[in-house]
Amino acid sequence: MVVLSNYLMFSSILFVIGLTGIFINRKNVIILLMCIELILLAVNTNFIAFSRFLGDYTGQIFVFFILSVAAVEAAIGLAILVIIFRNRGTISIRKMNNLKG
Amino acid sequence: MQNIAFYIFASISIFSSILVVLSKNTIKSVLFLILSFVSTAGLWLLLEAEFLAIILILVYVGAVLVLFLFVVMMIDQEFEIKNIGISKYSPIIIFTSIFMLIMLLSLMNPYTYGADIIIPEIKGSISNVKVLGTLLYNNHLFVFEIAGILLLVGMIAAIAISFRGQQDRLNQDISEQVNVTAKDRLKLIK
Repeated sequence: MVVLSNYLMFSSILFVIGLTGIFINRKNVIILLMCIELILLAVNTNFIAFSRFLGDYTGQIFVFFILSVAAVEAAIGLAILVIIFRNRGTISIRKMNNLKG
Repeated sequence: MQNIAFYIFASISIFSSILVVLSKNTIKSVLFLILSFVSTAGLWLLLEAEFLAIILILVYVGAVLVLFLFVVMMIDQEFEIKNIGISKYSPIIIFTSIFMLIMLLSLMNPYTYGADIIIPEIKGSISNVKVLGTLLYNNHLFVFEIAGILLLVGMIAAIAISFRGQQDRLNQDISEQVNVTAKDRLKLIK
C-alpha cells in the first residue's frame, strides 16, 4: 500500500538532488536552471500528494499556478542566458565576475 | 499493482534526476530531465491528478524542456565539461546534502504521515477536469487572470531582453533627424 509518506520521501529526495545540483555546479548556467525545475517538480509532487490524501482539490490549483510561474521563469532565464552568451561568448559561471560580488 | 508502479516510476525519476546533475554533456542532462518529468507525470497519474499529469507532459516536456534543448543546441560551446568540480567546498556540500536528506526523510517517516491518513473516497464518477475547472473558475478566478497577465509580462520581457534591433536594414533614426542642426549639414567655404 502506497501511503502519503512514500510520496513525501520521493519528493524530498528529488528536492535534495536539485539543491545539490545547484551547489556542485560551477560551470554551466543551463544545468542550474534545470535544477530549479527539479526543485519545483518536487514541490508540485508534495502539493498533489497532500491534495489527494486530504481530499482537497485546492492543492492542484496551487500546482497550476506554480507551473505557470515556472514556465515564465524558464523563458526569462533562457532569454538572459542567450544575451549573456551573445555579449560575452561564454556561459561559464566562473567568468561572471563583473559585479565583483 | 499500485506499489509496483509507484516504485518503478519513483526509481526511474530519481535515477534520471541524479544523472541530470552528474552528466557531463548538457544535451544528455536535458534528455534525462525529460525522462524524469515523464516518470513523475506517471506518479501524478497514480495520485489521480490526471489533468495535471497531462499538462505536465504537454506544456512542460512539450514546450519548456524543448525550449531548453533549443537553447542548449543554439549555444554550441563546450558540450563536454571536464571535471564536475572537486573544489574546496566539496566536503561542506556533501555534508549539507546528506544532513538535509536525513533530516527530511526522518521528518517524513510513515509513522507521522502514514497509514492513519485515510484516502477519501471519490463520490460517484466526477472527472478530475470538471472538479478543477469548477474550482478554478468559481473560487480562484482573479488569481487565474493574474496568472494570465504574468504570462503576458513574461513574454514581453523575454522579447525585450533578447531583441537586438534591426540589424541589416536601412532604417531611419527619428531622434537623430530631429536633433540635427544646420552646422552638421552645411559647411560654408569662404
